[in-house]
Amino acid sequence: MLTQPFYSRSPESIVVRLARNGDRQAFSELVSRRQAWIRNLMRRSCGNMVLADDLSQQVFLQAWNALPQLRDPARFGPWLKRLAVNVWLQHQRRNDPLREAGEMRDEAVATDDSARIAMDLDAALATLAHDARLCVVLAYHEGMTHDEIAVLTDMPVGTVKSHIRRGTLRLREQLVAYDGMGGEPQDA
Amino acid sequence: MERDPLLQKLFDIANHDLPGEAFLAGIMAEIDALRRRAIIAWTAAGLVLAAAAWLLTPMMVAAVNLISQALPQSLIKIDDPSAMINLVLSPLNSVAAVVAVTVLVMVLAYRKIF
Repeated sequence: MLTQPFYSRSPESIVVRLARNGDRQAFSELVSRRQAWIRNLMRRSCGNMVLADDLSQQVFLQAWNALPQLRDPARFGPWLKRLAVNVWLQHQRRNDPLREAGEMRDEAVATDDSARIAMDLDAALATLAHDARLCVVLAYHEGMTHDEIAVLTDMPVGTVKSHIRRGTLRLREQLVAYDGMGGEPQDA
Repeated sequence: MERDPLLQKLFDIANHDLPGEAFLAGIMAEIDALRRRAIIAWTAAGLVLAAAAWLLTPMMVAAVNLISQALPQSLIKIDDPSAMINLVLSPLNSVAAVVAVTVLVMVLAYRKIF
């Protein structure tokens, strides 16, 4: 039996191969490595910590079930991101009762600057339409290009560009307090 | 693709590390529950299949016997087994041949239509 340090030291492609063969500990290591990334992506997408964690859990459960179909272990990251976006899109289409919760602001007290900025950013993102929000999050959080976002979301490239351009303008208006403060609000 | 520097910075700052112990525990517990459910489901399915096979075996054997007796039956009776017409028709002159040709035609028609 392999030990935990073996998993934590191994390259991701090796861990993915092991998890693909049903190794529970290997999958646990993958979740540990990727959970913050997926949860942050979901938090920016839906603006609610509880819903984001619930959707992130769905992403990893789907990943566990679909992992044997992943042919190239080196593509685990992009594959997981596609799963996450699909889970989010499905959630939107289902009009899940939890969606109501997704519209609510997190009540968590901002204990540090990054948490406060995250809350302000999520509040500003909440003013965008769902599709626009997804495009903006994928562009800024994931660093994806217009073409990549279009492929991932099945939206025309022109629509993606438009969503990002308008979304960026809208966010700048909402986050005007941070102008010229290097990430700190001007009137905080 | 050009990105707004301020927004990029805010996204980067907001993208902080999250403690994952409870999250990980929740996922692994759910995976274990899924495994347990799958084992129970497969066991139940196996038991149902075994019971069905045990109950249906006599009927299935009778059906197989009936079919195996019916398939080689000739469609056209030819008295002289050595007659040329019998040699020519023998590959098609049976219930099995008719069934095979019918299935083949249906498959071809299905492919043509759909």
